[in-house]
Amino acid sequence: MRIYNKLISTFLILSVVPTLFIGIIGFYNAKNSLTKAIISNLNNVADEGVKELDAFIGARKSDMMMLQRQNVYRMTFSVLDQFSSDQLSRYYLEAKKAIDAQLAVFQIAYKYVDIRLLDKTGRIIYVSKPGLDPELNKYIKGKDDLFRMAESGAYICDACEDLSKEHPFTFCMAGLAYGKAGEVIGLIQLRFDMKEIFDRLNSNPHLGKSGETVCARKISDNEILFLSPLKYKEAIGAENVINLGSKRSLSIQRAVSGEIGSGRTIDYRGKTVLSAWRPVKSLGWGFAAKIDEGEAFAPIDKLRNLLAVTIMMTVFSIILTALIIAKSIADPIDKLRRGAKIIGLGNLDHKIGVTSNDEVGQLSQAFDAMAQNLKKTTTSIFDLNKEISERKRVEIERENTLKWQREVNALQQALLAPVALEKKLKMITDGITRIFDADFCRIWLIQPGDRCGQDCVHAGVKDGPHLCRYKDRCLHLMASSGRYTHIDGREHSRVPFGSYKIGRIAAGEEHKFVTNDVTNDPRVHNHKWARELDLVSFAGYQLRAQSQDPIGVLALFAKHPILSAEDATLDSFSTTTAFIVQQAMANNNLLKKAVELARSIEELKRSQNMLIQSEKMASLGKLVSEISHEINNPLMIISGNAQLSLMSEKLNADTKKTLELIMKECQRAKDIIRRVLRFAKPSKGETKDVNICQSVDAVVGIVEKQFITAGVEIKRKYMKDPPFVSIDEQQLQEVVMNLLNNARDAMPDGGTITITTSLEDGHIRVAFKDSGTGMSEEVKQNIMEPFFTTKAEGTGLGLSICYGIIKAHNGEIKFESELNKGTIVNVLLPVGKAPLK
Amino acid sequence: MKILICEDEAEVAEILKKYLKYKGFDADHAINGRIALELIKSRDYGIIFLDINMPELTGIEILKYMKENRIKSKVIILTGYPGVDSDFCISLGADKYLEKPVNLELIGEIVDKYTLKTKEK
Repeated sequence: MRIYNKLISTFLILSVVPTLFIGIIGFYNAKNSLTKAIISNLNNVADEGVKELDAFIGARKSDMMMLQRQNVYRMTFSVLDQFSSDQLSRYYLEAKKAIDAQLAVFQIAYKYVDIRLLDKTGRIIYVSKPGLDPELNKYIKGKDDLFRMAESGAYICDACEDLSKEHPFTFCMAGLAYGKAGEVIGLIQLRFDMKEIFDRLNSNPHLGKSGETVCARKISDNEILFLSPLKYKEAIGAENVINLGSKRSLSIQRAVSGEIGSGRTIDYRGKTVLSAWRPVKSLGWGFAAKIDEGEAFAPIDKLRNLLAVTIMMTVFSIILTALIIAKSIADPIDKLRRGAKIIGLGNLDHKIGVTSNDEVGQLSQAFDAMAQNLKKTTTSIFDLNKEISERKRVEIERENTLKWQREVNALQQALLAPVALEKKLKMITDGITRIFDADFCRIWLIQPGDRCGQDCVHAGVKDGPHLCRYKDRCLHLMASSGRYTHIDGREHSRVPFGSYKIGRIAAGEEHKFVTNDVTNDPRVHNHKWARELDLVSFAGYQLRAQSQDPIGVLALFAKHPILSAEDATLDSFSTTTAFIVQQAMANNNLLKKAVELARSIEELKRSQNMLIQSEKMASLGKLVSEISHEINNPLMIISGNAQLSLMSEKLNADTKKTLELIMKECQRAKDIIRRVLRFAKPSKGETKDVNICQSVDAVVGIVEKQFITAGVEIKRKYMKDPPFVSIDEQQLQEVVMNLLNNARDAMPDGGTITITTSLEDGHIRVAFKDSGTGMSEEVKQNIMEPFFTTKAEGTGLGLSICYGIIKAHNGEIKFESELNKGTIVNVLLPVGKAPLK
Repeated sequence: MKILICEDEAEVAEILKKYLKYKGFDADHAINGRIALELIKSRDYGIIFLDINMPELTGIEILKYMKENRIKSKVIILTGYPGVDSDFCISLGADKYLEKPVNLELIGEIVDKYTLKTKEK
């Protein structure tokens, strides 16, 4: 337990316990003395009450004795006895009048309810009230008992059942009436009301508001009757009976039994009261005075509340004082303890700093002095150790630097190898990860954005510092080694120039950025991620071209701090990397340029060829045009003259035949010219939608018989429901005829021609495959040239014309041929709008 | 019914003239385009045989003139020069396009047809 707690506990025990103890003792003492005072008051009330009752009864007894000695009733008793049945008789009235006058004295002395005379039989023969009385001539109950009791003196009884309700507390005193010779002639009754005296007894101030006095007497062996009015009970007389031995009204039970006493009891209501009880010997009654405990102890309750508040306040102030005192004592001690601990751990510069003038203060100063002395002796040792470790550190660092330098040099050597840029960059990140024990290392190069508007995550940033502003300068992740080796991640494969730490390094805001506190450095983007991976440091270097333009970034994350020597090595290596990148990019560009150049040359050659070809054709067309004009006129003259000659009727059969031959040959010449012209300037003529299979088959049908004779079989492989082709059918058939003739000529010893139709890329293909001699490379090269022929009698125009016709229909002719195996000629024509049904 | 032959080749024109005479028609001959135009302006021909490639004025120019001046003669183009588009000639008002060498019987049929129509009118 801390000294502070101990002090507080001690203070509390020492102060709170006695306070509580004194408070409780004082409270009980006060309560006891109050009880005693109340009890003594009640005893006084009881004693006084008994005295007063005795005095009252004594007065009534002396009245009775005076009445017994009076002569007045002796003289009139017999008259009253004789005429009481006739109250209005003169004798009775006279006798009553005489007695009334005598008794008036008593009525004045004490206000009796009434005075009665009874004869020996117990019959009421006189009532002191004026006028007629209904009680007169009635016999009283228990006459014999009454007489017997009266013989021993005046007897008081309360059993006056016949009394009116007006006087509920009316009591009756009976005495014997004597005749002249002293013989008993009857009974005298004095009836009086005790309400007044009971009220007076109750008005004693010592009884307070709740207190009262009660009188009671035994009415049988086990029953007690309350005689006085009860404050808390409206019933009167015979109703107020309790059993002797019951738990209630113990005080009156004891009084009736003749006991004198006082104490705490339970009254007739069942309530706890303080009471004093006495017997009234002159009457054989019991008397008790009582007060409710609640009222009696009210001052005690007040005292208790006051005491409780006082104790609470006292305890509170004690606790407060205890806290303050305990703190003032415990704090310096605690400070001393902590200081001692710090000094004990080796911090000899620490000062405890308790300046108070007491023992703790002195102890603290002694400690400080001791620490100072100790420091002086230890400093020299410490300095020595420090120097040794510093020298070691420098040595290790130098060795490491040399090692890094060696490995970096080796890496640079390796990078001289003629490999692709991507591979070189990967070699660099691999090397750095290994040499500097990096968690991962990456290289980004600046290139035009290639994912803008596609799937680039940075395109989603519409505002703020990470907004992609330079789409032409996007950082492309080129190589990654260590923890992450992929370079196609969605988030990091492209970084906007100028954004995030990589983009900022690239933009040269900080051409180098090294931190050994990645989990807190505000310049690092994701602290949580770095913490999860236990990363400690980050180093990023701008890669610059010789022109000082930025070309990329080299960066690494590590789980150890990056030392200044490592930083220096990396910084210089980044320059090497930049150089290599620049070199490789230049090489790449050169290579790319070379490829482009080669392609351009090829393209140029091709277009040149085409140009030559088309020029050739154009000049040929012009030539043919000129020639045809020059020939057509002579042909016209020849054929015209032949026709005119034929019209003559004098011709012999031979001449006629000759003329007809001339005409026929002219027609042939015309056909040849037309064909040549068609090649030179092929015109579409009249086009219509044609079912190509039917159209081809029509030609096949014409030549088939002739072909079979030459040993050539034609196989048909036509597609079903071909789409229509918009074409000049006559021209198409000319092409088919030409191709079939060529195929036949390629098979001098017979063979097979297979015609296949099929759909290909929106074109219809008609393939003519023969099993002939095939074509040499030279032939293939020149096959389309006009006037080129391999046949002894060929014009060299057939395929050229075919080429012209198919081109005019936006189609194509392609050759596949192998020497001695055969040739396939593919004719491709664009299909029309809807399939031809 | 007058027929005009516009033809720079005299022999060709001679054949046509002979054949038409055999068919019973008289025909004028213009050796070049200019003469042909003069004749067309001064006389009313029912049928004109028109060569395209002629000195001084081409057949096309004559066609254009005829179209502009609403000369209603039937024009039969007779050419040995394949550089002319038949459609183009028809659009300029020519009624028939024939290439040399041409069968004389075909010419006879065409002339018969045109003269018959004229007679009916």
